[in-house]
Amino acid sequence: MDLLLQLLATGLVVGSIYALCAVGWGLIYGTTLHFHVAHGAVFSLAAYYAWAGQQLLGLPLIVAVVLAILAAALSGLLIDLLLYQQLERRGAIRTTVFISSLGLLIVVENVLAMVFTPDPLRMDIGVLHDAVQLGPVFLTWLHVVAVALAVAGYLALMAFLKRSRAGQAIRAVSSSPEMARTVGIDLGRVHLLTYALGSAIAAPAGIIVAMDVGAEPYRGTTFVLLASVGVIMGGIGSIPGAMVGGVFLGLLENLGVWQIPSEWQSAISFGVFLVFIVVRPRGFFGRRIQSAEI
Amino acid sequence: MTAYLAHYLVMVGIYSVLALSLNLLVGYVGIFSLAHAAIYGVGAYASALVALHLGLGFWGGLVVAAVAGACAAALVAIPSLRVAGDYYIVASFGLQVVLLTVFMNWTDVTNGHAGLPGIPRPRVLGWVVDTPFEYVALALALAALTYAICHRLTHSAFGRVLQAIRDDEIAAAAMGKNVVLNKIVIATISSALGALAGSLYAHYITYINPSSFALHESIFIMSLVILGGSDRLAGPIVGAFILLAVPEALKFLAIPDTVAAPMRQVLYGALLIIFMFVRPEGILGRARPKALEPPPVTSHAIG
Repeated sequence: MDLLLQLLATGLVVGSIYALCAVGWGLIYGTTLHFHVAHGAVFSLAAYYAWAGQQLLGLPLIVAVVLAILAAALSGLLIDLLLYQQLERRGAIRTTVFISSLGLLIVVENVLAMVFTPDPLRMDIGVLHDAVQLGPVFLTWLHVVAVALAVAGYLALMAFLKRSRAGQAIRAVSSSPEMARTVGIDLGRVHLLTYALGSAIAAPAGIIVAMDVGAEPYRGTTFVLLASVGVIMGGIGSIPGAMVGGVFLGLLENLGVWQIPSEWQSAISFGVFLVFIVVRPRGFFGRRIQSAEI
Repeated sequence: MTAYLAHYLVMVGIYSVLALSLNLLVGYVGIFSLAHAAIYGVGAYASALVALHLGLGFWGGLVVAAVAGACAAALVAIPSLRVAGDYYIVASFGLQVVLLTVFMNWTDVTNGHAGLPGIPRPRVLGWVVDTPFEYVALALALAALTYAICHRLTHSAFGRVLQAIRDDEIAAAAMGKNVVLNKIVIATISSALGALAGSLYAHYITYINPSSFALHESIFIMSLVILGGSDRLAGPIVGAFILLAVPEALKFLAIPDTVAAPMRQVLYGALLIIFMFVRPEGILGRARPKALEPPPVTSHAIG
């Protein structure tokens, strides 16, 4: 029983990290319809920004983290501005944007590997590494922070999307780009905002993993593809869905370990995903993709 | 030097088979798969295992590899191709991860990271292939066979249905074509052919381990198709000739191995981006007429 509770708690922590990544990716995919695999590059970059801020510039941890999140948001925005929007101006179709995104992901991760070696780079996180005991469950403070950040980030994003004018513009574009343009919304600017927001919300996920086990160059690829699994499971176009999908994946991986050896973790998630798209292709809350492009 | 050139040509043959078969999906139906390296691995493991344990020869191995590759792909294609194309990117990535996990962790059969050594050399018509020249001939013959099969497929009525699906899925369905079934069939054929390359690889190197079949290999095969030109049958072969020469060229620069591997990847990634700006149709591809572009897919309300 204690073991089960522990796995449940760990699953919730891992799930929160997946959820942040999935919410960011899902926001971008739902609004722009770009299959933005370079989201993984932003995820990896965020970790290295935080590491560089603390270890190279000697900034206090919290300052380094905040700056890293801002830098990640800017990176996401620049990817759209300098890559995707330029391609679209030349009449690129979705496939072209997807391939350029894949190319960028490969470039960024391998440049990180060349400059910083493929080995994990450790950060000093002080008291965050100390253990917390909640009944029979042991976690570190960092894990508690991860869950709190996921909840806070999700609530802030939802409030922004529902209440602010800019947030409403994002929702308008995601429900119908043509109609949004007709009522005078600048699609380019809404896309830039979406990329900045989606990157900023995924950045803490990358940074928390880096604080826990070190920054690694190739981790982003796995995370962005898991995020897309979470988004599809939750339902495309649904932010609550992406959140639930991410948490569900984390729980699945960890509860699976209860019965199945841990080296099969990733196989479990994808096995369930395949069953899922047979049984419920629209996910928990979403609608299914209408026509087949890409 | 001759041995060096022969190795290059054998690898060009193997990668041509992989790229040609992947292009059946990417170029002719517009579906992206991130699992082709894993399918390549299924072919390699299947034919290595039957050669080592059952003493089945090269030809038997090829057949077993093709069947195994087809089954693995059908497992994912049947659920995920019933829904839209974006699902297949994710589902095929899932297949890649699951299969690689199987190669690494099903140690009783695959011997895990240590891999399978001592795979016998192929016997063709009673002749044991063991010189570099003979391997070149075998690899190029297999590539030619794959090319012929792809040519036949794409120039058949079936091939025209596939292209209709790629250009306008709804119109194809309206003409009474079974879109889903056609997609599943081509995904299965594509994988069966891709697995043949794995079989040849296993019998050529005579040793396999999981690291040859990882995700970056899938992305590399996709790069061959895209850079070569996905709407021409010969495009992927040109891609294989050029991109396989790149690492050989890098060898002449004195760069340590730890830097050379990521540097090669950076180069491939940069080429993908540059091509999307300058020549999205690839080296051999024909420019796409702008007016025929499908309209953007819309409507996924956020909230």
